[in-house]
Amino acid sequence: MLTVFGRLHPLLLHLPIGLLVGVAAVEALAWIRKKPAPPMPLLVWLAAASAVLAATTGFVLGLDGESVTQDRHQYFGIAVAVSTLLAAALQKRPRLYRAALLLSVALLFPTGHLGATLTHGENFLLRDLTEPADAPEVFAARCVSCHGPDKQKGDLRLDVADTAMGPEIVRRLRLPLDDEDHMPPEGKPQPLEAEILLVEAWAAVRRADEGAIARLRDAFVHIEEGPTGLRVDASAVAASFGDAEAAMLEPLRDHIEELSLARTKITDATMALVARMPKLRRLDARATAVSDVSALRGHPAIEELVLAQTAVASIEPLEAMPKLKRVYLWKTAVPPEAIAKLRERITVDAGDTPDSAALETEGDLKLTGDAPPPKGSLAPVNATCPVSGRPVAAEFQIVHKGRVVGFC
Amino acid sequence: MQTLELTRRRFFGAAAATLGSALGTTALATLLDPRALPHHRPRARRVIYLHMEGAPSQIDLFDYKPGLRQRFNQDLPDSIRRGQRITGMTSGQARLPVAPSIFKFSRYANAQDGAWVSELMPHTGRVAGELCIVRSMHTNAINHEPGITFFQTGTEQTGRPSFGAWMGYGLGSMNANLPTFAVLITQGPGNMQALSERFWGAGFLPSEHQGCRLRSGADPVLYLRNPDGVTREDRRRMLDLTAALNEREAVRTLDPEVRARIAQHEMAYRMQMSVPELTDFADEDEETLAMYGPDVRKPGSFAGNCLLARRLAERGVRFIQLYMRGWDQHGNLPAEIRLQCAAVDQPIAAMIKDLRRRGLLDDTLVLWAGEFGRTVYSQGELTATNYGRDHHPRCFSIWLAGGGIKPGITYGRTDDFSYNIEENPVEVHDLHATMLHLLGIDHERLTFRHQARDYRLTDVFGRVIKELLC
Repeated sequence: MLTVFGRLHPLLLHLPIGLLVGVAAVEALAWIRKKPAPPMPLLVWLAAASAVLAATTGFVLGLDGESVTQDRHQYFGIAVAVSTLLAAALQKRPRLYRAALLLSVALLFPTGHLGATLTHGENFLLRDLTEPADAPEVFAARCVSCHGPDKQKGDLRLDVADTAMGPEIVRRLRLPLDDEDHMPPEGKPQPLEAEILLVEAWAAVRRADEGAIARLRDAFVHIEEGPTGLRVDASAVAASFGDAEAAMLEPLRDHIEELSLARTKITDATMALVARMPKLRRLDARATAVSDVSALRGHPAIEELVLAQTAVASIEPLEAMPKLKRVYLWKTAVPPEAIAKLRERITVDAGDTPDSAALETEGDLKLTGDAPPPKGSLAPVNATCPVSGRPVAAEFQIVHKGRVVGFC
Repeated sequence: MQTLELTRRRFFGAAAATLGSALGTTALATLLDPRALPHHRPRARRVIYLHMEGAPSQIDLFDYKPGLRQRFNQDLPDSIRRGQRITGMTSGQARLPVAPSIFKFSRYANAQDGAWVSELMPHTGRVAGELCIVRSMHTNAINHEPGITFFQTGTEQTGRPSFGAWMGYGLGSMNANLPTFAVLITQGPGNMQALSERFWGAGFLPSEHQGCRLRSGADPVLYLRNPDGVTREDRRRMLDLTAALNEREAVRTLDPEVRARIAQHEMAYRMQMSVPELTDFADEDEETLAMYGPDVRKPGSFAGNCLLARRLAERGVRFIQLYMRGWDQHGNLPAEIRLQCAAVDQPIAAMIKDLRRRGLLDDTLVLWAGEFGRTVYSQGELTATNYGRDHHPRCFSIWLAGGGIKPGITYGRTDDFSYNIEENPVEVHDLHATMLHLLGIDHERLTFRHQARDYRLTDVFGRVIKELLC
């Protein structure tokens, strides 16, 4: 019974809106014409009563849910009811009456907007004016109001697009509308076919990768799926990871952002594959048999390159890497002049970082006891104890947020 | 991802299932599954935490107070002490005489106007360009057990998971052949306090995330080696059988501890191969070994453990904790602290340099910290050459390096007596929040539901200190 009562809220809320705006319009017209308005106690009291009823049904309706938006809508709704009641009670005092009416109408706007957001989703007003261009935008428009920072229904958040959920999301989108598992729920705005196709494309990319990722993980290669790409680390199996194993990275080459092959058995042959990884930001090829990095010439994305403990002798290809910021060349065969030349442009660590110099050192220490006592700059900020009101005593002080507070 | 059985299990009061067991996949998957973390792009992948157990004296190491030299043997002023309760160890003293440091400080070049480091740590001073020295740390605890518990688990009460366990739970492993959380302990020449195993425990997290202690000596991990007569193939067949039996039990009871046990058996099997390779320094060249100092080949020495820490880092172990015991200098400080520093100074600087030149310092977060500081007044008799210091939680110094920390700065300031903090206080939760942030984790979002509450490492506190990040 209570549930049905709560569900009357969307019906009942229209009454106070219409009545309030109507009564306020009459008062406004009268104020403009500087003539007294006809008294309409019935309508005003009806507005107040229906506002209270709308707020009550709304409160009951919201008992099982919780979100920040709902809390705000609730507070504003109660404010509307209270202020309308106030207006009704003040009908005999025209100035106060008009002020209360104005307040009630003003409060209708946030209440109504938040209520619409609850039903239709965030950014209902301005979204869908442009077509979503990719799956994350579809999520932002259709899903994030229940699966986002405000609410996490089913413990799912889609404001950070987690590609692991791709297949499940597509499954639910494609279920018949009346299926219990279909998402978004029946009654909520549904994505367009074009939008579902975007999500399917996004998930399909993941499905193609999944096989390759699973194979690598079975081979104990660590693969981390970040929000913008993959991070691959072969340190667990360094002793047995060679060019043949590195070839398993081929299907993932468009997604790899960081690649750590330190101490593995790869050779220059794998550099050709690395050259075809357009998103690669960091490559660690330390202590490998790599000796020739010419394949990396012109790489568009590499920012950090670790070549320490390799036989690399020529770093000339590095000159033509536009994004390169940092290179590690300890124990390589690169001549010092080449290193110095590269240092003009980017940070190079060749194991030769100088120690921090001691700029000054104290002389012989003389211990004396003749310094004057410190100034009382650390006196308490209060003179009387906040608990008892008696004067502050010196031995009962604490430091709170950088200030001394005294007690007695 | 919940099944009906899971809900019944909860109703009857058993442990809530973790993501891992709900996935219903092999124990291996619980180790390797990324779990939709990190929350944002991480700057650091691993942590090396050098815990100076016993609480090193900040006044004699990093908190330079030259003015104290003119206050030798003066009474600690009330305006400085501000009514702080004295511990039972010094409450019997008639006076609290100020004991300035008898060690000379040098100012080492860094990204600001230099970092003052005492003559006890010249090697550390020479890498000051990499360090972010925080002099305004403070804590609540006055004694070692609660202090270390607080630093490791975020609360003084026992029973919560340690930092390393949270990391393993949240980020998973990078190397399935080694534990995610390794612990190395060095006995120090100075006054030592007890170290409890629960400092690297998993608390209420699945127990496969607890720290694995690598001991010095012939057997780095207890019970790892097969007994005489048992071959590796025998061991594999035994594990396959027990795993099959345990798997049936796991499905029947949905108890995550069963899966944890399967995972740990598998980990132990792989560690039989990976640990001997890790602890054998035969592939290190002489120059590297010499950099760590003469003790590096002694098992269990701090130098040896620092080299082991670097090796663990390059093998993808997430959280490497080194304990150096013996900093609790209540008396005889000058003599004991000289020995302590001699044991740690060169290896720490060597490890930083070694990580840096191998390109590992960029994504390895190094932390050097004790559990609290030491008092400016002397505990016991004060002479021109000898003094002791009592525990002091109100301010102490730590440093961080690598992994996204801004290098070459000092942060925070204490008053002239190194007693109260004057600028930029940092509490332990703030440090944890900042470290988790560098690891790509939002400290408010890495939680675990236990006893109907979502626990996190930073409890209900902690803010990320942006000034420490680069």
